[in-house]
Amino acid sequence: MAMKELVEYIAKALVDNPDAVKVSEIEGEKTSVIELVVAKEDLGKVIGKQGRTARAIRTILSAASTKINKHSVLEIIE
Amino acid sequence: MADVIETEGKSVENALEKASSELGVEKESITYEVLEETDRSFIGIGMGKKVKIRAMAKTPETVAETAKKTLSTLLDLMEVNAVVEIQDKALMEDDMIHVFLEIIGDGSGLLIGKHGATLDAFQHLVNKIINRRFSGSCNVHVDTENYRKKREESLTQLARRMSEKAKKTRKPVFLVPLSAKDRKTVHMALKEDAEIHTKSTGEGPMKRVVIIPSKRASGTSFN
Repeated sequence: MAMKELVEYIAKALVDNPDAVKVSEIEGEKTSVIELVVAKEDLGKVIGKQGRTARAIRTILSAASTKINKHSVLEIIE
Repeated sequence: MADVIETEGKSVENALEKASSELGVEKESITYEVLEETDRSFIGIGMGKKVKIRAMAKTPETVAETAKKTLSTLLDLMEVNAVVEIQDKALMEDDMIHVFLEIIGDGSGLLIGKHGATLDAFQHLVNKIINRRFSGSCNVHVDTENYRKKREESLTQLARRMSEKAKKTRKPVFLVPLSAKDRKTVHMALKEDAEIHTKSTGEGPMKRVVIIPSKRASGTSFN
């Protein structure tokens, strides 16, 4: 499943420094943790006003995970 | 006139200038991607650097196509079987380019989510991405299975029901937190009703509509 690629595509399309975007996935049996690293100055872009963009990414991720009966957690790291 | 062209120059700036005159628009309203960057200055004199770009004018059509491509990519990465169609014609209104996209999926509701949360998430992200690429003034609307219309209808009904409750109990009725668009639907649904008035309270994602009965409502006449 391309959860990692999904988050990477979204993040790179939102930031000023796409080269600094790093996504890793720690896969569990039921739950996967996706870690998104962006440049410090791009943090606001992936989080958005009142966390709206981060929430949108998480919502999309949840929908994609539901489809394969899994659960995904997104961690945004500076 | 074409909206998308490829040009070459000694620098990005130079290639952009060529694109600007060929597209017949100002440089500022051009979106571009660098296709090739070659530096052959070591070979000999006169060759130098060469940059090839694909330049796009900001028009309703190019914005619509780019938005469609972005949403399709998201759906593909989610491994969802769905196609995106441009609904109606993209249009320019008050310097804003409006684009209407429709997702044609399997109708499972997966792409809608609870109270349209997933659909709103797609819309939010596509808007962010598109406005970044085209430096603002774009509004992308995303719909599927006629959800927006159905939501508007059910919210209007809810608003009417709750306004009856407010009139009957003579107490304010608080609705659940709603998005800005949904709150607007509620306000609009009740704006003609003189017996109550509506306002929003709360902050950010917790903002909700309150329906307040007007003092001395008509219908209950004294004297």
